Amino acid sequence: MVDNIKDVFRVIWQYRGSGFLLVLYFIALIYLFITEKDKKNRFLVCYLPLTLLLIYISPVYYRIYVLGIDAVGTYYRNLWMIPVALTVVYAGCKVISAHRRIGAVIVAAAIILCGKFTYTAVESVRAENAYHIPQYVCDLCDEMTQDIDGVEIYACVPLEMLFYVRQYDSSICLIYGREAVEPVWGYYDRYYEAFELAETLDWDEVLELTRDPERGIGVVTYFVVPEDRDMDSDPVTHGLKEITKDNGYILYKDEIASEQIREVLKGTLYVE
Amino acid sequence: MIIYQILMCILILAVIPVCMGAGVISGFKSRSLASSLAFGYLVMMVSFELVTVPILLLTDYGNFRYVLWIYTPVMILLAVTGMVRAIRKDCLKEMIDSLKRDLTGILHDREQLIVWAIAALILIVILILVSVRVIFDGDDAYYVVQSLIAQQKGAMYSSNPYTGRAAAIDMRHALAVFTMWISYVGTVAHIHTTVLCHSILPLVFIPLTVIIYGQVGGVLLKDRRELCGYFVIFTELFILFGRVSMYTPEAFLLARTWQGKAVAANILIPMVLLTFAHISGEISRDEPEGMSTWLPMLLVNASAGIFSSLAVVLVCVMICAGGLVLAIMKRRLKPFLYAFLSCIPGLIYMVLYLYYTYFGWR
Repeated sequence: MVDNIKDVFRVIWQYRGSGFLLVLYFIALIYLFITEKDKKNRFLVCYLPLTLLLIYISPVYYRIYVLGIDAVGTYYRNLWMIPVALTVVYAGCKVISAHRRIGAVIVAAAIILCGKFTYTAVESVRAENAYHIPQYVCDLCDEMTQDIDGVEIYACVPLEMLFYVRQYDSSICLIYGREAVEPVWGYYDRYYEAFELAETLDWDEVLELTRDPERGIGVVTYFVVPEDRDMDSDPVTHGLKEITKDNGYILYKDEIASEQIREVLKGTLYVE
Repeated sequence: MIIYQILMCILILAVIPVCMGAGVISGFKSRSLASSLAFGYLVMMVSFELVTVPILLLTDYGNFRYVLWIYTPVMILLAVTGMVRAIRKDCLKEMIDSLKRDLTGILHDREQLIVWAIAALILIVILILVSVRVIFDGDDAYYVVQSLIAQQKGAMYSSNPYTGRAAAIDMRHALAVFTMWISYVGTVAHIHTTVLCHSILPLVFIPLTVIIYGQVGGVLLKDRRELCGYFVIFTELFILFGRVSMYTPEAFLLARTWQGKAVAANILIPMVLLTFAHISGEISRDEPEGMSTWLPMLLVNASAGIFSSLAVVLVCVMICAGGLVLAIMKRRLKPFLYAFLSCIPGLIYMVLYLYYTYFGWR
């Protein structure tokens, strides 16, 4: 029971983050409890949020949620039920009603100072195109074409491209995906281990995996390698052909894998 | 092509929702274009869910082409029906008059003109920022790609979006077909769904969020209408400066506008509050109260499933909690009973979700 309550408050603490908007919310809630006279408004900004807050911190609800609905990691989403923005903004409007101009400046300043500007986040970068995908990823994907119509392309790309490739073109399949690279998910992937995690890229090892005949037509035909990647040998000597260079990345095509696909499909509708 | 794309976006993302919503709000006491747009989106989501989920569960690989063939006439029919109902009940005229009245009020008052100009300016700044800045989110590799697969391959939830390998249907996400709605809009408008998600939908859903908050503000500030402009300004500032952590609804709104959970947090949940604002106004009168007062809440509840399975739980909890509070305030059981009945679509969704999660889908 005590652990459950601790968990609930830990989630609130994480949700609070680096700003003071939750503090502002509790001040606004108390202010509205004291000053709001209209019954309908009291229902919307006082009684309903308070009831939801009580449900949220209730260990019974927490147990039901964790055991039957979703993981602890998403418990913070229950806080979305509490109308934080609505309450603060409404309380702000009530406060300034007598002196609107100066009051508006003070309330706006309070929101700005207690909050945090969204676009100062380190993940925030300039958009390069309407896809909001780095342009070099789009250019490299455009170069990946399959010789045989209707057969999917399998590619091996570095971590920084992994999340974008299939957002641009879903016909490009990846030898390993997000499951392999999310540390919290804890999956082991031998392709990721050999291609990305190895200090020196061992082409013999990688190509043995990617050209494995058991993969059938799912053998990897394209590799994207950073120019400064430490490699044991020149990929060209292993039957790979350099297609293009873009933004510090080299795109290679595995001609031997393409031939393997042709062999597998020989005599089918794809290859006569 | 660009003109066709723009026209289709205006049609599907603005005109059709307004027509659909007009049918719903024609039963309300106060009717406005903004409410019509907000409720119209809910009608659109419910109807899309009702068409898509059976196709997903009953056809091979969740054949997306059936969605295109069946949903398009359904959508047109609902829009036409909504508009006819609105015209019959004089709702259309009232919506236009109310818009004219509001605009005249703003244009004839210098303070209001400045306040609303600032509100419009902040909104434009937000929209420019979401267009020119990108906040990386790993979940896009799931949600955006699911939409793109449906658009490019015509199959729903039949492959692993991260790699493209064939995969069993993922029931945790599959019943929340918001990704397929995006795919539908993208396919009909001939827009790549990634462009739609990252560059177009934020321009629709962020103003829609502001509109819904503004509507709730209008109810709260009913006797002090001159403060509505300030309410909108503060709301916009809250959205822009609300990313105190990556968990807040505002952080989701600006960084992941196109994901179902972001829409649930910023549009659906405020819609519960807006609907409660209408309901609590209706039942505060001494007229006998009926289930018809609660029908909009039924609509809100039914639409939750398209966004995320968790949204269904949150909305049911909110509605029942609200019903309970109203029942205590009115000292009668009916509000709670009606609130519970409004949750029936959500309960059906949960049963379906649990059934398919534990027993598989075929």
